[in-house]
Amino acid sequence: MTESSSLSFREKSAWVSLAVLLVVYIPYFCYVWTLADRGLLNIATAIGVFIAALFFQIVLAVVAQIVIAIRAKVDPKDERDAAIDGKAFRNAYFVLTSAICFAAVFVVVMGLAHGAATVDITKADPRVAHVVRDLLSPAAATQILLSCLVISEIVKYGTQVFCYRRGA
Amino acid sequence: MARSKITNEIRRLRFESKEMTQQELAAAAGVTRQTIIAIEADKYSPSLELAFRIAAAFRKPLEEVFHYHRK
Repeated sequence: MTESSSLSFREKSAWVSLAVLLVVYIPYFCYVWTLADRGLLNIATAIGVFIAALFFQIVLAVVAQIVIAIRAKVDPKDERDAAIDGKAFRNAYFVLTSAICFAAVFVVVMGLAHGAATVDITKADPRVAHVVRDLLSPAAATQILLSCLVISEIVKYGTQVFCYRRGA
Repeated sequence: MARSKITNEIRRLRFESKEMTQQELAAAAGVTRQTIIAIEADKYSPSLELAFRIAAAFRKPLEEVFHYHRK
């Protein structure tokens, strides 16, 4: 009488979206980090790499969603799906706003450090000055903001997966 | 505010309703089978409207399907 609890279309969709984000953006940020480490990160490179990552994300997500839509019955969203979506968006919004506030404070602090290093250049450690200058570049700023967005999306899909698995 | 818990008799009522499946109950209540599974396992408390729809599917009053426990 009690049937097994197979995954619903929406739970599969949340798993797929989470997996796509991790598969695309972990290598992306690792690559961007190596570029920044070598001093090769500029705005043109950052945009080029981001467009490539976005392209792969869209292709992977579309293919995966089509496959699960073919294999699973697509049920209309019910009140439990809506409640889980609400929790997921609430957590993601909290993470996004916190991460952006943290990033803003970080940039201000780095700006002050850069100013101090410029004023007294003779005392500034060249390695520290290099890191500070790189972190204040427009390319680095876009990556910091993008990472905030990606983290919040991971939290959103992670919350959905957690709630669906827990049953609530 | 006191903690509370809502339990239900859905599994027993399904059995008594000619072994109604979770899918049949889900279709009657207008939700997914996973939502019925979650409610039956006391992991999700339905809205008042859904609780009435489930009770109506069994042709029972609400209080015979759902029980409210105050802790």
